[in-house]
Amino acid sequence: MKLTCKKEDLQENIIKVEGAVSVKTTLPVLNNILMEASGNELQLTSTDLELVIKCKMKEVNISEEGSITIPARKFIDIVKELPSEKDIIINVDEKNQITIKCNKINFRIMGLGKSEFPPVLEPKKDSINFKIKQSVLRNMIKKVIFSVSADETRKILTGVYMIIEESELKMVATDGHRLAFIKGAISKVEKPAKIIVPTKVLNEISKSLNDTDEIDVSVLENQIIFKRNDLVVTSRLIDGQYPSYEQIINKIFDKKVRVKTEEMYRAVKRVSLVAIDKTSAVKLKASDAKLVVSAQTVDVGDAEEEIQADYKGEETSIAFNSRYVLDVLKVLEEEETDIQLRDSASAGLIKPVKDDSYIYIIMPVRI
Amino acid sequence: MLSEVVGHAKAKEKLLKAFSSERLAHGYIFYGPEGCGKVFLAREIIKYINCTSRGVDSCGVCPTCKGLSEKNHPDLAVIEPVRAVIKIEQVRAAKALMGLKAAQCEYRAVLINGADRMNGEASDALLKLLEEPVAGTLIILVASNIHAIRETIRSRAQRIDFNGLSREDTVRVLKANGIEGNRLEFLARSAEGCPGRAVNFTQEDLFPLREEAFRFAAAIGKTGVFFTTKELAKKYGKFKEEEIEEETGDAEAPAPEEKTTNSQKTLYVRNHLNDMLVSIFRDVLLVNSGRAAEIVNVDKNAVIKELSGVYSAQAAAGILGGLNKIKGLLKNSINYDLSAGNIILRGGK
Repeated sequence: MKLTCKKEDLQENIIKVEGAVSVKTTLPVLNNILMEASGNELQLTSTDLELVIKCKMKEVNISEEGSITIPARKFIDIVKELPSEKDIIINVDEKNQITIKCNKINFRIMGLGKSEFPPVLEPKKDSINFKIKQSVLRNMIKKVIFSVSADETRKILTGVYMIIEESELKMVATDGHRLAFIKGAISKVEKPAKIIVPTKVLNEISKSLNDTDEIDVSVLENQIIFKRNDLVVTSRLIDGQYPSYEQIINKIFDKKVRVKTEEMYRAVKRVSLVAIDKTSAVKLKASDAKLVVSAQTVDVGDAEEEIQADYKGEETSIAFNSRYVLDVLKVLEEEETDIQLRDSASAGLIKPVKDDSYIYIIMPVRI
Repeated sequence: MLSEVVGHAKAKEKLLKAFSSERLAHGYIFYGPEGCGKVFLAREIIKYINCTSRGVDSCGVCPTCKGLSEKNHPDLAVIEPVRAVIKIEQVRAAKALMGLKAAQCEYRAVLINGADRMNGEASDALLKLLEEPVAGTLIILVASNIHAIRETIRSRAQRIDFNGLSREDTVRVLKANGIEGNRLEFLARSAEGCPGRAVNFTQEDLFPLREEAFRFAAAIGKTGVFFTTKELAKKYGKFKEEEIEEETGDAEAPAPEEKTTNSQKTLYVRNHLNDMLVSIFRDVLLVNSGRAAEIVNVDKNAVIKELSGVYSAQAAAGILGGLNKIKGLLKNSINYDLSAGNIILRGGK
């Protein structure tokens, strides 16, 4: 294989596929990027067996077609350090030795043959296809993804549950202590689908989403594919039955406290400085037109802050894990936020005032 | 394809019966001597149950059969000891894949080759996987030492016992691996029904070392010349780095890597050399007991005959006893060259 390309082009594209390169792996080839040159296209592929990222570089000057897998970390570091605006010549000999030339710089590194790379599998048929605005998708991912569980022993909860119906996409993420739900518009689908998507693919795809156009999404029985003209990201789905979430978000919350988002965020952040025990609980006490945020830890001290709130009714108080509250306040863009409660032993709901498509539920901490 | 599996008819039948009656267990332990073909059968069974157009055998041409024949298939996690140990990260990686929907196959599979080399943590992680089986998954543990697998794991998987192959079957496998000529008969005999060992012997190119072993056996008796395995280690055997066992003790003073590799290579050569010497003196014993037809080193018939003139049956038996004893002590950094030389020298007198 032999080809010539611009440093900037190459760097931009290898960074796109970097996300699926395995960090910790027992298979050495997964540390590598697969490069396939044919015609005037160079295709780059990386995988960790869960996620596959493919991207195409067009109009590459290829003087000899072929393929090789190249150690990703080294390759990226080398390309980054090469002088800009210069041509890079990559040459691979039959012993899988890769020569990278640029001006008077010469690198030689060992690659692995393509046969070591996991085979590309034909996707199963019967896909459900839809289009979604890239900005909408990115916003949806941002607002739920922090709620997934990090506990690998319950694999199901480490993913985001997606429900595709008619012309709506719903996403649910929960770790058993809090739950985030959001819905957004998509192009109409013929068949509904319910899938659990690993967070890794969502993190990767949201990195490369832009604000202008739409992206194609295909859902198959065992995988999800995000496709743009320059980029294809495929991920396997998580196997299993997602817990039912409807009964949690459809409960009635009779006490509504309306606060300024920014003010609330700052108050919780400040007060939580003294909430350093295991639950790091902050207490919210709502009474006429005010909300008192407080926290206390034995042997450390306590803190209290009063903020203005739109609330009428009997005094009510509840305690939440401060991190769970901050997580959601951080992603809320509206000026005002509703906190809806029932009693101190039941879950609370947080949502933007004017928008019903986003709901966040937190289980209380007993104090 | 299953038809390519030589021997092991019972094991094959048992698995096929279980599969056809939809009673395939979620976990199996393939137990038998190393190199007899357990892994090969395991791979073929995994292909068979996933083949989309299987009859009595897998088709070998459908996308799943082809995919599974390639390396690193996403639905098949193969775990092998790294530096002689299987660690928890390896089991965890397999576990993570089991949580995902199959990429292509009906059955996702984990094949643990060397399940008797799992450390404690890895065993614990695997136990969880065996305790809560996921539908559509198959775990095959391959081991040659069943007692090194925890009781808790053994009790959660079905055990299938493997025996060594017959001489004819061994020859068939060796021929299929391109082994021919006068080496074939020697390898078939020395493999003891485990062609994998003979294939390793060839791949690691241990024949020159074997020549040395013969030379020493002949020379020590006559002249008392000793050998230095350190020197031999530099010359012979394609030593696989992955087989170096991790140094456990002595954490405070870690040996420089190069030094460790060298001493490990010496150990490797000593192990093989000792086995070769045992095989030579066993043949001498056989010849002197009137069972010359059973000798292993058939290609070296003349040398064995010559040696059997030097060493009596009793002497050979004594040497064998001595060599077997020091085999167990090899890791304890004994002076192997001196001990082995002495044993042979004394036997000769």
